[in-house]
Amino acid sequence: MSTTSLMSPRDAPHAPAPMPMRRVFGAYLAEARFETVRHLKTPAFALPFLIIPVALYLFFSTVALNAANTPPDPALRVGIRMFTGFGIVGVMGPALFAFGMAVAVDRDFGLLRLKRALPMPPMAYLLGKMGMSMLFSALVMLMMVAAALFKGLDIPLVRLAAVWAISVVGTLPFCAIGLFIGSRVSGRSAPAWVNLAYLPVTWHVGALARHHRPVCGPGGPPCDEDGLTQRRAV
Amino acid sequence: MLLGLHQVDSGTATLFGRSPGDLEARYGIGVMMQEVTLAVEMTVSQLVALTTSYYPAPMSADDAMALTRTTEFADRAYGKLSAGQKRQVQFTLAVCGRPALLFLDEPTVGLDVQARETLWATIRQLLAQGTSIVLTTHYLEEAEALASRVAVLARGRLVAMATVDDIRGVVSRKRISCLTTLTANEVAAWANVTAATREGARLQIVARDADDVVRRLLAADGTLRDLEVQRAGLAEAFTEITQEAA
Repeated sequence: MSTTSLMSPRDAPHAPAPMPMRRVFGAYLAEARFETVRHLKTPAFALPFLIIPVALYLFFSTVALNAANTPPDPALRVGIRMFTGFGIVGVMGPALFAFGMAVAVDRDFGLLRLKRALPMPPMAYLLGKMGMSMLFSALVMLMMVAAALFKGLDIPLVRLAAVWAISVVGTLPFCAIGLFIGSRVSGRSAPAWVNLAYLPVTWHVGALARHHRPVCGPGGPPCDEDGLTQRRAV
Repeated sequence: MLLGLHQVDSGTATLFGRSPGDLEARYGIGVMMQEVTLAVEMTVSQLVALTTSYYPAPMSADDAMALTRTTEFADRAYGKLSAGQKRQVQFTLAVCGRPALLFLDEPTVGLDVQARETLWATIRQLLAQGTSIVLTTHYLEEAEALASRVAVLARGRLVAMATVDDIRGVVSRKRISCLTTLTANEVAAWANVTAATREGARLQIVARDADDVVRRLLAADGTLRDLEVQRAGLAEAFTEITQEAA
């Protein structure tokens, strides 16, 4: 290829000019696509965070639902709680690890500094990572919905879809936690700090700690029609 | 400061007449940093494509890679490239937006001779096409080969800024080398001779006024041959300037 075909006089370097809106939008889109592909290409991230929440849900729901068979249908409430609980675990993974940890690593590696020097649109880095996290959350929750249907969770599809949508949007607060951690700790210590947030929240949502037994009925407080109200009472 | 990464302590820093933090000002710059690790999972073409998306009127990713001779590893993951290839990719990212002003920080560190020559050729090509380049380097031969103006920094202060020839001119001494029957002690005693030593068969002389010393050498030894006179290099000038500043 000749030199002139690469940079003809018409194309010669020029003083800065405003960027058309279409290209600004394109830059945001390119950043989000780049982040998504980047993490899909990292099996150590993509596999655990896409599969583990669903696998845990399937495993624990089998164990717990077999135990929860007392009236007035606590099995359904335990099933819903497990579905939503593991859903939260599912959306936390991308937000804390792919977002938060990646920010810490990018800072360590000088990548963030380079991006700040380059004319990257100011919010592209954050919005790109948020978009990536929400896309991964959407995938995780799709798999969770499929698993719930497979397990025969008896709630209307509309409500499942609503939980899916709320969970995807609910990724954003976890992104904020991830950003908080990622902007303060080094890349090396980030996994420890992120786990410090991830594991207690996992515990708190009850995904791992409380599903093995019914939370109301015999031996516990009385059940009412709203399992979640009882859940808060416990 | 011109990249918008540091605030000025005093005075002002402007980039194309604007604040360096201004996004539109930065549309005109390309940057190659010394210490940076790009996303190791991504291919070279993906990295270049992302960076071109930041600019209003960039080259295509293919053209940018052709310009910097990185097309052959366009589809390889960045993490699997050699250190020299990584520097070439970083250079590609710096030039792909067709910037009017290019900042290159130690661009040839880790490059083999061939890759360095390719990069130098591309830099000369960009210069010829009107790109201004700020090159930071510890390799003085690189500055000597590429730069039209040289600024010398010592202890965080600007101690000299001039053309390469003017900077060299700071050092008035010249080196004379020849095959002669004259002894080192004899020549060292002459006026304008700073030092004279014999290295093998050759007599090496450092002179303040080389023309005068050469005339005297030729007059004193009719059999003198293989005469060489060298100006001080940028390296010697650099040493002298930074020592004066210390």
